[in-house]
Amino acid sequence: MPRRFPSPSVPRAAVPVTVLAAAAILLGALLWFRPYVTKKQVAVSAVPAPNALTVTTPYQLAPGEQACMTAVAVEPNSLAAQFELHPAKPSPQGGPPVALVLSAPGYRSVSQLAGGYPGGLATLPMTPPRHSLLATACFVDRGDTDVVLLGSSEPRTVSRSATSVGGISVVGDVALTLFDTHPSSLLSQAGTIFGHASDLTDHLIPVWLIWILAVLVLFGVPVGILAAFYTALREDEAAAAD
Amino acid sequence: MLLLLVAALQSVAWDVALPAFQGPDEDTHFAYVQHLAETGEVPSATTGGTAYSSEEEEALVTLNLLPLIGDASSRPAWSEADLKAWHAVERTINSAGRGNGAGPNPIAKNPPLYYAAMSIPYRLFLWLPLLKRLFVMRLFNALCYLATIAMTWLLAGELFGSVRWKQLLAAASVALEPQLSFMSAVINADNLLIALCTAVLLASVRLVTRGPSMSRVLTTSALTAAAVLTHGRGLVTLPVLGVGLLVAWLKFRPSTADALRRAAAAVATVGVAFLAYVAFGRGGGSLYGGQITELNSKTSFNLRQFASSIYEFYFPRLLSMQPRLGPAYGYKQVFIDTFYGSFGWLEVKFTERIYDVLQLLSALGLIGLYTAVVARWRRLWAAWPVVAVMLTLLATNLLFLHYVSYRALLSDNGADPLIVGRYLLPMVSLFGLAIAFTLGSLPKRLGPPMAALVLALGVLLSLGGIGITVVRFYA
Repeated sequence: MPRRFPSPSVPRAAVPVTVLAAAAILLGALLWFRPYVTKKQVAVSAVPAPNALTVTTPYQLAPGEQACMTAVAVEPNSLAAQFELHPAKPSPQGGPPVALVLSAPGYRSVSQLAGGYPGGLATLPMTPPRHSLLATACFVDRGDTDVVLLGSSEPRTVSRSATSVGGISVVGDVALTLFDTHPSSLLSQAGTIFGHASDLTDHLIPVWLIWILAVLVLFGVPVGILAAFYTALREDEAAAAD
Repeated sequence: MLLLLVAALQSVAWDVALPAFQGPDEDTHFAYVQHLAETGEVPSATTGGTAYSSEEEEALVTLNLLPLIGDASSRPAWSEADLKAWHAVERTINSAGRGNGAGPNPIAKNPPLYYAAMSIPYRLFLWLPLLKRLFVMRLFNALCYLATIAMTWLLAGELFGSVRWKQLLAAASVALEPQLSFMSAVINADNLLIALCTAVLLASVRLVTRGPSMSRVLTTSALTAAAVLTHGRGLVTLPVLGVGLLVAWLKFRPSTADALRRAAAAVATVGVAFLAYVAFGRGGGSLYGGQITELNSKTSFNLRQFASSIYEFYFPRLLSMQPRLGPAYGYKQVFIDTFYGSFGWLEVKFTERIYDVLQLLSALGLIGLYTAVVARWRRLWAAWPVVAVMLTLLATNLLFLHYVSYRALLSDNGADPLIVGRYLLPMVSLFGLAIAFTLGSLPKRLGPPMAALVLALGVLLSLGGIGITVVRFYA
C-alpha cells in the first residue's frame, strides 16, 4: 500500500512554515492596512476641475462680475466647496466677498465667503442635492474690488466644463473640489468607493460584484498563496519520504 | 493552477481599480489598437489629425479622464450624472468616430504585433460600449501575465528539478510583483514583451539543456522574432538567441552541416519576421519609428561618459568623475520605487518608508545571492550553459536600458532619463529565479521559513498596491 504521509524521519515543515506565512500576512495587514482603512478623514465628493500641475491661470473678476463653469458634478455628499483666490491688489482690507452659486433644474445652493481674507484656499459650506446631478457653478464678486480666482488652462488639466468670465468664454477652468465634510474612514466609505468604481466600468461590474471581488481578493490571494505553498511543501516532503 | 487563479484574481482587481486610460501610456496604446482594428492600418507617429479617435477623445474629456492622468489631486467623473452625460455623448458617436485616430501617435513607433493581437478582442467585443470594451480587452491582456507566471514556473522546474517549494517561490515572486500585476490590467505592449522575453529565456534554457533540435531552434527563434516585432526593447532577445545557439552548439557538438542548417533556420525565422515588419508593419515610417536613428544621431557618443553614467547610476560619484547627466535618478528610482510599484502614471506610490524597507531587503537579497553564488559556484559552473543564457538576458537588458537612457539624456539636454522600473519586467523571471536560488541555498530548515516571509511580503505589497490605487482614484 502506498505511503500517504512522510515518515517521521522527514522534517514536517509544511504546517509550521505555512502558519508562519499566515501570521506574517496577518501581522502585516494589522500594522499596515488597519490604520489606513480605519482612520477618519474628510472625503472628496467630486473634483469638477483640478488644480494646475505647473502653471496656475488667474481669472480676474471685477465687482459684480461672475465666472461660471458648466457641467459641474454635484453629489448628495457634496457638503463643502474648496477653491483658491486672492484679492487682485493686496490691501489691508483683504479680498472682497465672493458668492458661490450652484444651480441646476430643481436645485440651487448659494453660499458666500466673507470679505477681508488675505488669499489662499477657501472652503465654503454648500447645500447638497438629493441626487447626483450636473450643475452650473458661478463665482460672483459681491464686493467693490477685484478678486482673482485661480485655475488651470493647461491642456493636461482642463476639465470638460465650459468656463466663462463676465459672460465671455475663456480657456481653462477655475479649480474646484467638493468635499464630504463628515470625517469617515475608508472602510465606512467602501460602498461609495465601489459605486464610483462600478460607474467607471459603465456598470459592467455592478457594485455587488465589486464587493464579492474585494472579499475574494482580500482573502483569496493570501489563502491561495498559502495553500499553494503548503501543497508544494507537502509534495517535497512526500518526495523526500519515498 | 492555484497560483494562476490567484494571479487572475489580482488582475481582475487591478482592472476594476484602474479607471480607463490610467495606466502608463494606455491612452495612446489603446488608440493604436483601435485604429488598427477599425481601419486595418497602423497609425502614424508623425502625421494625421489626432492621436485619439473621437470616441476615445470624448471619453477622456467627458469623464475627466484626461486631467486625471498623473495628477493625484484629480478624480474621474464618477457619479451617476456623469455616466448619464457620457451615455448621451456616446450615442452621438458613429463608426467613423472610432476609426479616426490616425495620429500623430507617439506609440505608433512600436511594431504592430501586440496591437494586432489586441485587435482580436477589440473586434470581438466591438458591440460593447467603450468603457466595457476596454475592461474586457484588459482581461485578454492579462493572459500575458498568466503566461509569464506559468513560464517562470517551468523555468524554475528546469533549474531546480522537482523541488516544488522553490518552483512555487520563483513563480509566486513573479505573480506577486505588484508592478507586473498592475501592468496586466493596462493596455500596453510591455505585457506581450514581458511574456515573450520570458518565453525566449525558457526556450533558450531548453535549447542548452536538452539540445538544439530543429523544433527547439525554430521555437526559440520564432519567439525571438515575435519579441522583436512587439517592441524595440525586444531586440535584447537577439543576443539571448545567439548565445543560446552558440552554447548549445558547444555543448552538444552537432555536425557542421546540422549546425549550419539550424543556424540558418534561426536566422531565416528572425529575418523573415523582420522583413515582414519592414514591408508591412512600419506605418510608412522607418524601423521602430526612427527611434534607433534618432537616439544615435543627435549627439556624439562618449564611452567614458557612458561608463561613468552607469557607475553613478548605482554608486556615489567618485571625485574624478563628471557629474552624471540629467536629474538625480538612479538605482533606487528604477530598481526599487518604480520596479516594486509606482502605479497609475507613476503618481500612485507606496509611502517612502516602504520603499526604504524594500531597498534594504533588496540589498540583503543581493548579498544573499552573492553568497549563494560563491558557496555554490561549482554547481553553477557545472550548469554554465544555463547561467550563460540567463546572464545574457540580464546583461543585454541592462546595457540596452542604460544605453537608451544615456542617449535620451544626451538628446534632450539631460531632461528625461526615460527608463523606469517596468522596463526591467522583461527579465522578471530572473527576479523570481534569483529569490528561489538564494533562499534555496540556505540550510534546509531555514529556506522554507524565509520563503514564507518573502511570500507574505509579496501578498501584502500586492494587496497594498491595489488598495492605494482604489483609494487614489475612487475615494
